[in-house]
Amino acid sequence: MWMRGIGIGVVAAAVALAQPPGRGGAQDWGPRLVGAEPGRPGLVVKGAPFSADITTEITQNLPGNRIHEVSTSRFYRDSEGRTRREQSLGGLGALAAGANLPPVVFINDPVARANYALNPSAHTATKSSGNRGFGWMGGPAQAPQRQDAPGPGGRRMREGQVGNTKTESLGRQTIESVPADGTRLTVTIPAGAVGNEQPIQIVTETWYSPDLQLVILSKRTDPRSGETVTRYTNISRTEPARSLFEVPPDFKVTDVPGRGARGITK
Amino acid sequence: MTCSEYWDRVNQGELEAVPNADHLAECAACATRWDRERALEAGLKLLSTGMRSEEAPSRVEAGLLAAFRAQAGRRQSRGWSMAGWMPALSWAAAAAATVALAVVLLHSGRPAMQDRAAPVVTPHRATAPTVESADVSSDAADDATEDVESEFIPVPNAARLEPNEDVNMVRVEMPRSALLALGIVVSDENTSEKVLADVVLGSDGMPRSVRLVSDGSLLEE
Repeated sequence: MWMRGIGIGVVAAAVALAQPPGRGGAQDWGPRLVGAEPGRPGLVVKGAPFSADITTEITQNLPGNRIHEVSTSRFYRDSEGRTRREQSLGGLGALAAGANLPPVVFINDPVARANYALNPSAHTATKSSGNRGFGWMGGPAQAPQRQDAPGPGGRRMREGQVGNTKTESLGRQTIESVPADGTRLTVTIPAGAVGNEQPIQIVTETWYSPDLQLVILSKRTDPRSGETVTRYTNISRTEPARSLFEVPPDFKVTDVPGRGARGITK
Repeated sequence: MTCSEYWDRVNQGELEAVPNADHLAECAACATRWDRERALEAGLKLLSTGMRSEEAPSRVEAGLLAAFRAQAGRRQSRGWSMAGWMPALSWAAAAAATVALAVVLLHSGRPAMQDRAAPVVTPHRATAPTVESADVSSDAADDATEDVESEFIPVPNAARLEPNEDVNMVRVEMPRSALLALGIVVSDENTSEKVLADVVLGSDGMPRSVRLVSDGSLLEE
């Protein structure tokens, strides 16, 4: 009898040991999206509705190799300053290599003072209120500083040379049927400043649309990180549908308690 | 503000974590130094906490086992017989094995979200993202509310976040080997382990910084 008991125990133990390892075993899984959270919204711009595709490409040329990453999103803004960003997660690059992660939608509604992160594939949403930051990147969006020429992120920068930074105007051009003012910002890191034998030049060209109040084309070249180009295409100036800025009624909405931004603004 | 004045203020604690400060926006060298120091700080914390899981050398285990066996041998030599206990012990072993099987089966049915996820522990507790993907069980989501987060690690060479930039975050489960993208060295034996990470996205959808997330039990270490 007791021999039978031992036999059952051995078989049970063998079956248990035959289970796929849950921890640290051979990798038979891929990166996956677990959740999303709306963060700090950008500046609220009223009276300038539009929609556009946004593409960001990062290219790094290495000796005998090349890295090219692309991130795409669809962006909407209505007359009240609400925004909707349909974000693909292709830009995660090496952090989620080989993964086919589903897109995420971020909605910022300054009228209702609410931000949402939507997971369309799961029909769920996270809601937060007010401006939030996740930590060291800072707190709520800040108003543009008073300067002369438009610069990265919509800030207006003074033309000329200040220290190792040189700012030039590139004039006005029409890009994607939208007038835009160009600025070239050249930052030089002197030799030895960061252990570099030769000076390093970082060049950023931005094209700022006064109508849309944002940079619709930017190109940044840094020998350390390669070239990054972000462009708005298929720009439409028509008012987006109101429903785009609402959470679909069949989505389950979960509130995220306010955390407050850590860092300089706490 | 000059570079030396800026770093004096940082060192005196007057400026804490100020990536958006005017001086950093104007001085690429200081901005690079700030990024490096931040990455170094996060990396050291990661290393420090990660080494907590290091075990004693195998010779210690071997010594303890030898001592235990010697002690057991002395007991047996005193004439203590197990023959009468064998049936009960065997059934107990069977029951224990069955319970172990049940635990393994139950555990394998859930996503192993906290698989030695993030060794870095900070006192900050925050609610986890709750937009679960379709294949995340409610248990897993509940577990996530106990998460502990590391500090953000800047993605190397990523563009700086602008003060007025739209910022969002996604939580992704990824192999530990993905940390190589952050410049974190991963040993060969645990490259396939799962880690949970919050990835901050800039308005261009590109990752700017990453923090690792772990279950609350690590907080008690």
